[in-house]
Amino acid sequence: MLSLKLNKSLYHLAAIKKAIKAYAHLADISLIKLKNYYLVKFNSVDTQIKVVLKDEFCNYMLALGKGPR
Amino acid sequence: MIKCKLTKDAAVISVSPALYPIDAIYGASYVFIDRAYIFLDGDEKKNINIYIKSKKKSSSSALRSLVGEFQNELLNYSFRDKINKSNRKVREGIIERALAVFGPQEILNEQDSGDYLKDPLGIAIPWEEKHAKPKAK
Repeated sequence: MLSLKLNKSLYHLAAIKKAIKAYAHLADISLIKLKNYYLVKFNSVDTQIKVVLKDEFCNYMLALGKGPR
Repeated sequence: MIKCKLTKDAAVISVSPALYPIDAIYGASYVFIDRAYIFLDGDEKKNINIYIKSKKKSSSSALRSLVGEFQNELLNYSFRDKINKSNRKVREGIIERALAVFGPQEILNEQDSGDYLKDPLGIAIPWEEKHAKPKAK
């Protein structure tokens, strides 16, 4: 299982939710809200995309909204 | 202040948000998302860590060059942000003035009554009729 810790002050929840929706066909993605972070968990990921999934997911969020503002 | 740490296939740039505004960091990151994987972490008020990983397998010198370009872009966006903030009032003033002169009310007043049957300037008269030579009797 892959997981990603996203800082609440740097990544906006709306962008995370949009990214989860866009990547839903590639993995079972769950979102957990922690105190200062959002924890994104990727389950049942295809082995071929496992290496790049997290990185592409992060880039996608940056492309969506350029951050929280 | 910028601190940079290079690992095997990635680089971490630590930036102080006091010097480089967060919007500049987002802007510079956005420019590089086609060439590299960017991940942001850290404290928004103290120190932001930017993780850069090249999409292509590259040597350490190529990675160093990518980091250098990123730092330049960071500077570029910081300057743009500064100019943007300092010119904001001027831009708002220009727009306010433009809207005051050609406001929506002005446009509505300029609209004609919609009576297309009257032709006070004779526009509807065909050219041949208007400029026809009078027939000699």
